[in-house]
This record gives sequence, structure tokens and C-alpha cells, in this order.
Amino acid sequence: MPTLPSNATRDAARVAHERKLSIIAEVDLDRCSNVYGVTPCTAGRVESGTAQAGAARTITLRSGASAVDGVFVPMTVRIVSGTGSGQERRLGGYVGATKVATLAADAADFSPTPNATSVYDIINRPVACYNTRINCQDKPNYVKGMHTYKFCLRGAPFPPGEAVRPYIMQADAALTIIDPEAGLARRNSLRLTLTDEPDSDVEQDPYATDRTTPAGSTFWRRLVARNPNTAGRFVRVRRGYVLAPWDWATFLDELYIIDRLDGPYGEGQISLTLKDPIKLTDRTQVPVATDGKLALDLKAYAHQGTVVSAGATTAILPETASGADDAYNGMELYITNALGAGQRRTISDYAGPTRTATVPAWDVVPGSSSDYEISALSIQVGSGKGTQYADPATSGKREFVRIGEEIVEYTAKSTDTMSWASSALRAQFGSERKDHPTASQVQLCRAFIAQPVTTVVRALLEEGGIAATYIDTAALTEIEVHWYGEPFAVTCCVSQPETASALLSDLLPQISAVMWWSVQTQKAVLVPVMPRLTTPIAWTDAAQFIEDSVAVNTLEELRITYAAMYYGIINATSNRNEAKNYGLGEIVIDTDSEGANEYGDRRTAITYSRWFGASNQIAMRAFVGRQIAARRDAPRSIQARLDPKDYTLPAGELVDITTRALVDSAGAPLTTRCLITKIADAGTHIEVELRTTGFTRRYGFIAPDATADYPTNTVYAHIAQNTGLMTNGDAGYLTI
Amino acid sequence: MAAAFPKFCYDSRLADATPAASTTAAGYNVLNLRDWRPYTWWKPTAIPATVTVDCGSSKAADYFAVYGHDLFSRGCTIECRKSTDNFAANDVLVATKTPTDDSPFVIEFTSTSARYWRLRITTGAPPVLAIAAIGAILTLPRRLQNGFDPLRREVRGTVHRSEDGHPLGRVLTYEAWTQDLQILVDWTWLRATWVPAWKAHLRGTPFLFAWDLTDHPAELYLVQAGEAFSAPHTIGPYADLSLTISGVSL
Repeated sequence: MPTLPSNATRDAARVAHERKLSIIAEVDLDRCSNVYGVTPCTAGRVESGTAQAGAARTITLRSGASAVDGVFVPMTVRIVSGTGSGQERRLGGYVGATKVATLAADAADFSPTPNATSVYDIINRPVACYNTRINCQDKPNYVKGMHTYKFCLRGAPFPPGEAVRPYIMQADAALTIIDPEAGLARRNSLRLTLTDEPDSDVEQDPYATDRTTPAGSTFWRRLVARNPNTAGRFVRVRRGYVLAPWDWATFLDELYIIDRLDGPYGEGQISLTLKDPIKLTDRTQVPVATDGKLALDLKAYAHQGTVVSAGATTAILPETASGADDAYNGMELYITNALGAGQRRTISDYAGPTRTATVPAWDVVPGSSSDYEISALSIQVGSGKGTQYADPATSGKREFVRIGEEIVEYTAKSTDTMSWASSALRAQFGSERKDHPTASQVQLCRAFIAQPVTTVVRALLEEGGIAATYIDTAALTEIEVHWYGEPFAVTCCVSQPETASALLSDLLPQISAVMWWSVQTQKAVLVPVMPRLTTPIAWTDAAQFIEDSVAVNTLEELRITYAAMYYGIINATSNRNEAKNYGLGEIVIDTDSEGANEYGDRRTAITYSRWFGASNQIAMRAFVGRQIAARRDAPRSIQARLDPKDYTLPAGELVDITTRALVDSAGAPLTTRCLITKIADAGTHIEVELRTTGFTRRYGFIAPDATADYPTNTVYAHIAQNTGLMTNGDAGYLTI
Repeated sequence: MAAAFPKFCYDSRLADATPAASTTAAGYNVLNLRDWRPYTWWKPTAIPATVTVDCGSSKAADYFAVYGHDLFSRGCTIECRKSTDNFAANDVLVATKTPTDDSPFVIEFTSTSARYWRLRITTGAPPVLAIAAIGAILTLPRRLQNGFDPLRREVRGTVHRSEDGHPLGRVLTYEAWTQDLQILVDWTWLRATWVPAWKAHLRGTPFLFAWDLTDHPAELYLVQAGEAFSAPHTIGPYADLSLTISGVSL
């Protein structure tokens, strides 16, 4: 059973009777890795040369240095090579006549002292940058590094020796709520309200002590001015308990990206809005939008007719064929019936006056009654547009384009030309072969051919902008093996750009799965809403639920009596929301629940699937059956609060709850198996939302080899007697 | 009640000029010592380590204090020193402290003056220090009146019981320490001592408050004053000075 990341130290702190809470936000912002004026940074160097002499507190600059007294005060001298290399000292005096620069009173002595071998730079640090891009004075040598700013709750303890600013006034979380009907959960959102204050600037400004005047304004105002590009940077929110001595092992880290930084507001407060990385899938389209247009007409058929005669490498076409030389060069000549039917040859030369097409040798020379089709085998998409289209030679997958209402597979790409090996690759995914005029739009498609459904999910995530490191690929593989496999293999073509999140939201409910960003494991998590082999953890009124916190709602709007799944889309370019465009369908009707003795109404749930076809019939039949099983009675939603000692399970897990808020007909608390749809650390307590499942009864699982017989083993399914009961009278298993 | 009078530690020679550290670890600027923020730190890279300040002219001090440190954990001894020649030939040990824990402390000594002041850490491994001050302590002219409650805490957090009434635990965010100080002072002291201190530091910057350094030196709080003090006239040449101070309990 998956649990939250933990360790013995955290567990001990979590279950203690008294816990001291700590929330620390670590914000990673850009900071240049170089030092102002130090190679490779060339900014701020106002004087360079080889010293004439040096002493503990002086250095005599080159003879050509400025003759103006005090001109280098309060700049910094740095010995860049020779004796004393690497030392930096702030200057407090300079005599132009002698070129002698004297160190500032609070500067330490040179050691070793510079001499005539010492090469120096004078760096004007008082006007230095702030090591951020916006004020960089040597952008070619800007090297993006990182500085982490840390913030904690106001008044809360913080680790000794770490600069953790007690600025967090409020942390408002809107964490994931798993919705099996939506598939893709609501994105985690966390808004931190942080206070502002005047500050010595030594953390933000690496050269604060070199400035001639202290920085004005406040911490956040300066930070915002120096870091305009905070969006997309990472933030770790670390939640844990204070131990003495401080121990980070008690902390559980959550990972977010900065969505926006607002403020300062009237009272100087800043609002930092954090989102989970799945937010990226809202902004990224699959397939990517392309704007290439046909440079020439693409006809359904360049010509059709009946061969007049043919030789070993020729075919003479009728008078209706083009009279222009080379008119069909590079096109395909396809014999559609009669002698030589099924042969495809690319025309290498065409003589217009004689209507003679020259082709590679026929296997069977067509006869005078052989019908043929001539078709183009390539398109051009306009100069420079070819880069937008994937090259099947390097993409590792089959590539398709949509032109008008037709989908064409192309097998090669060269600059702006896409070509296909055979005219059989036109009119794919049920689309119709048609004429397309010049300037017709050519849209790249995203096709999946017999792909494992978890592979499709992973592709949508990655193409939606989620880096592979944030996808739990091992879990996807396990899920594929245990729950999906071949019955859920996907063959589908997405022929118009849609957001990756929309595609995931379309697919996930059809495989009875939910997906969300786990801020704790820092991965996108996919979980099938299915029973588990293991018995869930129990939560009870006695030991887990905080007083007066349990509330139950009935999700009447989710109750159904009729579930239909239409799949096997006939034409991938047609309207996906009309049953007539699908060749296959599965329907389950629960007549009992529709009857007058039960609910007496019809509630429908209709699903249209572009992802699945004829090979998925078993899976589709199971899908509608599960829908009815899960929703024939309205699910119930339970909100409650837990003490932090019980914060061990992530969202998406099952739990058995026993509470007076859910009782049986006799009024006894009814143990109910629920799905955790939300679990959020609110600091002083844990907020949970649960959804009842139909998983309370026994379910069957396919057993491994050598599993013991019933009732020695009761985890896996055993075939019941024809009475529906097991040999000892137990209820039989329900197989879904 | 205790024998000592309440004291305010706010005056600091480290604020007279830019202090210079013998060594400083990256990210631990020596200027953090004087910013009265318990969450910004100075850390040397080698022991012995010094922080020296040139006050420009002779300045007096009668205490040194450190708030937020791990001197005990690092096995350190810390000294307060003074000099007339930037510690060339004149280097006088004024006070010393070998902490027995990592709690904040104030060390008082007979008032003395010098142009150069120094904190010197002599043994152990490089420690971290959040706030350090060398200065003249402000002592209230009387003890605090009835109602002062030095051990009282305001707990911010929640206590949980289960639906069945069983204890589930307690979660604290922090314990606040807030006191309303009230003391009868004469108008001369108020004008000559209190008001300048208020304007110079107390009204806007945190400071250390010790209600009884003699008998309860560990009850030392980093506090911030409320928005204003009040000092209504009362019988004789006296005013009833009152203000609120608040901080985090130890």
C-alpha cells in the first residue's frame, strides 16, 4: 500500500502527543554564478595593469593609472595574477601623483604583499549589478545559477544558522481533489502571504558592503525589481515538526512552481501563488499547432482510367490522361483491378504526347482492361515551414498530417516536403480521400498505434511539458501489467491541437483512472480506481476523526442507471460527440434501479471514446459494467479532519472508515471503504475528503501459480459453486 | 520579587561603524550581527575569530550580549575586548563568557570606554551567531509593578479530541511572550533617558529585555515595543510609564 514518504524520526515526531509545527518555504531564484568584475565577468573594471610595488596596506598602480586623487575610492583592488593573486581589498585612498592606493581602514592587510609581479584590476563594486539577469552589465558572461531564499511562519522556530525569514503570514492551500469523473484532478495550488520589512540587503546583494549608500526600500520590493522572471521557478514547501536539536528528517517536502508573484499590497505584503507542474499541461497543445499550407493542389487522384497497353516497364494511358511531359513524374501508378491488380509503381518518367508512363518493372504486366489510379506521393508545405513537422526517421513513431478532412501518413520528410511510400497511406483513420486546393492547411497529427494505454498517458504528459523525471514510470509499468494490458491498447489519431490536459481528461475516465500531482513524492501519479489486494487502513471515530469534524454529503448527481460507451470512431476527423460517428457501442442498463420499487427514473452516462476500437471490446464492456456498479447508488462524500499523527496516506488510496455519520439500517456504524480524494496538511490538522466506493464487498483477483485453495487463501478469486456460494457457504466473488 | 531592575539592551557599538570580521563563511555576512534579526547569521571560517569595530572616537559600554548562537555546541568561549590602537599594542580583555548552553545571554561589566571594540571567539569550532551587541545598557529606575508575569506564554496552536472524546494530541505553532510593562518614573529620567532611547531605537527596532539579570539571567527576550508608550502624569514629579513588548518565548 503506498504511503507518504517518511522515516523513523518523522514518525516519532508525528505521533508524539505534543508537536511543534514548522512550515518552511524554500524559493529558488536565479542568481548569476559569476562575481562582478572577476573573470569571466568583465563588468566594472575601471583600471588594470601590473603593480609597480606593494606593501601590507598599499599597492602602487601602473604608471599610466589615473592622476586624479581619490578616483578609485571606495572601489576594490583585486590581484588577478602574480604575487598575492586572488586577494581583494577595498580602497580607502588614492594619490594620483604617486599612484599609491591605500586600503580602507576596515580592510585586512595584504598577505602576502603584492609586488611588481602582481597584476591587478580595480573593480567599481559600488555600482555593481545584483547578480540577476535584469541588471547584468556583462550579459554574454551571465551564468544562470540559483540562490535559495527561505521563509517560515511568523513566530515559528527555525534551524540555527540558516537564514529563514519569518515572513509567512498565511498559507492557503487548494490541494488536489481527485474526481473520478474528471480523470485529471484539480491542480494543487498554494498561496503564501508573506510580509515585508526593511532589510540590510546582504542576502540579496552580494556587494551590499561595497555600496556607498545603503539600499533603499524593503526586502520584497527590491527582490521583485531584481527578479522579474520568477514564474516557473521551483519552490519547496517543507512541513515538519521542531525537534531539539533541529532535524530536517521530520520534514515532508512538497514541490511547486511559482505561478505568480503579486504585490506588494498596501501593507507591504506579497502573495506568492504556487501551482503543481501539471499546470504545464494546461498550456501545451498536443499535437503542436502547425501553420504549413499546401504549396500545390493535392488531388484525391491525379488521374484514373484503364490502361491502354503495357510493357515490362511501361504503361500507356488513355487520351484523357495529361498531355504534358513529366506531368505524373514521382507519382504512384496503382493497378486497381484486372490483370496486375494490386501493383504500385512510382512513375519515373511520363511522356505526354504518347501518354506513356515509365515505371520499375512490373511483376505482372497489366492488360488493356486493367484499371489504374495515379496519385501524388508528396506535398510541400511552404518555404521554411517543414521544421514544424516531425520527421518519422527521427521521431521514433509514425507521423500523420491532416489536410482538410483527410489524414495522411507520411513516411519521409526532406526540408519542406513530406512524402509517403504508397497512396495506401492516404485517408487514414477512417478519413476520406479528397481533393485539397493549394493553401489548404496542413496540421501535424498525434497518432497512437496499438500503444499500451499507460504509454499514451506518459506521452501526453511529456508532450504536455512534464519532464520525465516527474513521471513515476515504474508505477505506470506496474499499473499496465496489473490493470490494463492489451485489452486497453490504444489506436487513435488526434488530428487537431488540444491541450494535453484536455486529452488526459478525456482519456483517464475511460480507463477508470485518476491522475494528479503528488506534491509529496513530486511526481505525476496515475491510479486506477479499483479494489486493492491489501486491506486498507482503518479510520474511526474513536482514534482518528477530530471531534465534530465529520460531515457527509450525498452525490446524487452522480447516480446512474444507464451507462453507454460508444467507441470505434468511424472517421477520426468527424464530430466526436455524436453516437452515429461510432461503429461500436456497449450499453448496460440497471433495470432494477430504474424500477418503481427503487429510484424509478433513468439516469444516463454516455461516453464517447476516440481512443478505443474493435480490439478493445472486452475493456469497453467492463467499463460500462463498472460504471453502473460504482454509481447505481449515489456515492457519498465525507469531509473530516484528522490529527497529524494519522497523516500517513496519500490521496488516491483506499481507507475503511467507521463513523457514526454513516450507519446501517439498524443504526450501527457501518464500516465503509472510501477513496481518499483529498488530503491536505493544514498545519494544525489534516483535512481529508473521501468518496464512498463499491469496493466494500469481496473482489476477485487473478491468482499467481500455486496459490492455495479456498478458504486457505481468500485474497484471490475462487470459482464458486453453481449456487453462487463457496463450498463453506461464503458469498461468491464479484469479478469486474 | 527580584533584586535587580529591568534592563533594555539596545545600544550597540557594532552600529557605530561597519564591523570587520577576521573571516566570514559564504552567505553569513558579519553585518547580520547588528541587524537585530534572529534569523540572519554570521559565521567565521576559522577560530580564533574576531569582529572588530572602529567607533571613530571613544565610546562607552557596560554589557555585551549574544542572542541566537551555538557557542556551547561548538565548544567556544567568547570575549569582549577593547583597544585604543586597533589592537596593535593595546588589547584589553573586558569580559568573557563560556556558555553552558546555547541560550542567549547578557554579560554586564563596569562601564569603560574605547575607540575600538572587538568580540573574539577563542576556542572550539566556528559557530553561528545571529545577534551580538556591545553597548551601554538602559536600566529602568524601579522594579516592575504588580501584574508583570514573566513566565506567562500565549500558546498558538490547537488541541485535538476524537469524535469519541479521546485525546489525539496537540499541535503548536509557537508560543508568544507579551507583557504590559508599567513603572513609575520621574519626569527628568523620562525626558533625559527614556525618550532619547525610544527615538533612537526602541520604537522601531527589536531589543533585548531582561527583567532580572541578577537572579534570572536566562529570562531574556528579544522583543519589539508596541506602537507607542504612554506616560500620564501622576502624583509628584512622576509619570506612569507603560508600554507593551512582545516576542517569542524561549
